[in-house]
Amino acid sequence: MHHRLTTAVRAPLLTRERALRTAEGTSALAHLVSGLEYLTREQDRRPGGINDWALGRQDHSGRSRWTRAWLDVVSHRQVTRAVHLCQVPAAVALLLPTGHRTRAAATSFLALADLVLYPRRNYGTDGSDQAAFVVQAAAAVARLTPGTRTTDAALWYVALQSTLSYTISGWAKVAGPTWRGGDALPGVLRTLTYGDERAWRLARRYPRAARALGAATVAMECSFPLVYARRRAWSLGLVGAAGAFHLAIARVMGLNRFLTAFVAMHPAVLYTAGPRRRPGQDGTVETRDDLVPAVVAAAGAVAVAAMVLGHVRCTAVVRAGRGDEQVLTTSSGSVLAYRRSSGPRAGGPLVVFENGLATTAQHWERIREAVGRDADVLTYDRAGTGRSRRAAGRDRSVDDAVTDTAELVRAVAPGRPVVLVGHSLGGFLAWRTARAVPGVVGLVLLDPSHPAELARSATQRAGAELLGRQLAAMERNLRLGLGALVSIPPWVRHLPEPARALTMAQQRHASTWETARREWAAAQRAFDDDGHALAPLEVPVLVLTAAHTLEVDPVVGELHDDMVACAGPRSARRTVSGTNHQTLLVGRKQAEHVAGLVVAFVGSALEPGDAGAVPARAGGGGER
Amino acid sequence: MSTRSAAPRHDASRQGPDLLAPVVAGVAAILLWGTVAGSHTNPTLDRVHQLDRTGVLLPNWRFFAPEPGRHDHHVLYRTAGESGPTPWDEVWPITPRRWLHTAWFPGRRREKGLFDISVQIVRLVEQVEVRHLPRTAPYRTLAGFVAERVRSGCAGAALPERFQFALVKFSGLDDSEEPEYVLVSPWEPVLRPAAG
Repeated sequence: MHHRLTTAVRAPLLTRERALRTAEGTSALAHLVSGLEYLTREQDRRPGGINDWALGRQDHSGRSRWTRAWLDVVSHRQVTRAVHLCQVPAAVALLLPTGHRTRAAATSFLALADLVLYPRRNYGTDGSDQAAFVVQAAAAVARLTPGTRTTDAALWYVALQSTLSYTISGWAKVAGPTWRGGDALPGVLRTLTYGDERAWRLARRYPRAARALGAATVAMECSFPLVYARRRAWSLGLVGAAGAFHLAIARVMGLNRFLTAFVAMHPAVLYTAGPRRRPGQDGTVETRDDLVPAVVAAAGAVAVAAMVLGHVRCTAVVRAGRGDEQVLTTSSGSVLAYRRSSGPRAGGPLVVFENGLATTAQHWERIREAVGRDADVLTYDRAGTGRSRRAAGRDRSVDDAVTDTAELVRAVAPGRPVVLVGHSLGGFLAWRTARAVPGVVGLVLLDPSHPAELARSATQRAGAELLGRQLAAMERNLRLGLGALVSIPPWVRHLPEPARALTMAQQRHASTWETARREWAAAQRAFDDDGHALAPLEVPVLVLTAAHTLEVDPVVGELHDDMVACAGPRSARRTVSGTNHQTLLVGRKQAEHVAGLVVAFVGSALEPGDAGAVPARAGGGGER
Repeated sequence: MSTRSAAPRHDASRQGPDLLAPVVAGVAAILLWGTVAGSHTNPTLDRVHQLDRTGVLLPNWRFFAPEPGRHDHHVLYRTAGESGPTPWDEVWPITPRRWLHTAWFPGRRREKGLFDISVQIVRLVEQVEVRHLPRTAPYRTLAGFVAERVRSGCAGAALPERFQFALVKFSGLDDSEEPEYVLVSPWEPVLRPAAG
């Protein structure tokens, strides 16, 4: 055994051409099987199949006319079949000892076919398709460009992608509690899709062995970068272990194409992990060009610098806000930035908008614009969000937020009647504020939070735990400078410019999430302190429930009815169809509809003859 | 097709033009760092994949991670007969593992495809009401798939008028967990409306 190992370690090193050919050929085997599999499953692409292009093309409706026309051409059944048919001889050509020009044509065709057909293949693609594309695309670049330096660069690319495939996969597993707990392997083996009955029974009978195997797999993947540790035994050992791993999952999990596609990248790994100078084919000495690792390192430094600059710019954009905010410093040290606009008529209540968690005044852009045509409106960012700052020091409670809002209202509209419009947690805050500010004559609550929601709804409770973790995770990631990686959430796309750009900057800034985390913790404390009950209000309240929210959790309807019951006369609840928790505010048509309801409510909030006067607190008169 | 054996056009000692290698290296570096950037385990930090319109240039190497798939996604269906709805039945049984799958497994694409569609539908259910789902492509694809099975399963016999399907998560060979109903569709017509 020791003799065999030393022989393996002393075996001749891969030459450049041999590495390229082996990689091309093995990956071509994956393409060959894939092409044949596609050809035998024509029914997947016919109507009623999972990849019926007539339906699949809807995913691309947002792209340019030329792109869509091109996609329609290549996705035509005859064209797709022709491409799959041509994949077969191209793959076979790479398996045979063919010449350089043939191989250049074959690899180019296979790589282009993958690129062109990927949108059409849509459902059912997996990691082996990506791995096979990496090899063929790199091989095509190597074959089409003259000189050995580009071949070395292409092989380095394949080797580093292979290293990434294991390293990322391994460390991502470490981030998962199921993998850390050792339950992942039996969990996968029990499925019919990716499991195997015999293997699962073995895993159940020998749980410690199953856990050890799972841990060994993760260890192998996480330590794969050690192939570059300049010890041939390690390189061979890790590559061999990876190969055995692929063979095992091909048998146990039925991932046949993974074996060929990923093992195809190993020749490149061995080629780049060995010494730079090695004997060539005809007695010459080959020297490998190691430009790629140097460029990758330099690019990494540039990327880090770009991230830092991006973070600085993001902070600047958030601090600048819309540019027309006014500022008020409250007694608790908060600096509140607010915007107000006047409607066409003098007098009438001021409509003040209270934001939900992790959102700012920008969220109200559509509703604010629509309501602003008929009434005076005020939007602001709570302390710690947007342009508003909170005083450093102790944690803020819900009462602190309410006090801030009360001071803002008193400063901006002394003696005027006020209608508060609150969304989500902002609805709960608005309720509290209405009890603290005598001038509030009515509330409109959009999908508001209720102090009893965690006690009465299992769905809300489960959501609350997840929310707490997500807020903390976002804050952590953004403090690490990963703001540039935050994808645009669907609701932000509904916002008009310039609110959209500012909102994305705010979503990418850690302060938004830190404040949200604190506010959520404070809110849950307040729910408990309130005894999970609402204190009654004497003013009318209009509660608007999003139809999707109600569908997901019917208990929310009961909670919203309770709010109506605890409020003054002429209170009501309405379900707004065609909306979810976010589109209630940001959807174009939905926002117009909601704004209309708000304006109507504002018009009726004051009894006739009371316009401009603050109604008495004790009893509002009128029917319940 | 040439069958010359391996005399490469470039030989071991000749170095290529200086310009191309740095370009290839630069592109490689961008793609590699792009792959890293798209690898965060948090689904909110997925902007890189939003930007990659080709779908293949930036591989996603997060296999079974951070959380592995431990459930089977089954599609069940039933039809509306004269005596009321039929019992629920599997649309297509998941293929049990065989040795042949080590080399040849065309059915994998369909099973993975159904899984991909299920994942998309779960995401849609989080955004829109169920009654709006039938307008979306993943739902229509799945409904078309089930309709085709219903039609082909009724060889000769009269076609039922309507069918309904359900997406269910089973815990596979492990009986200990209750199945979880992800989605029950509204009743759908079996026959496609005639093309206009």
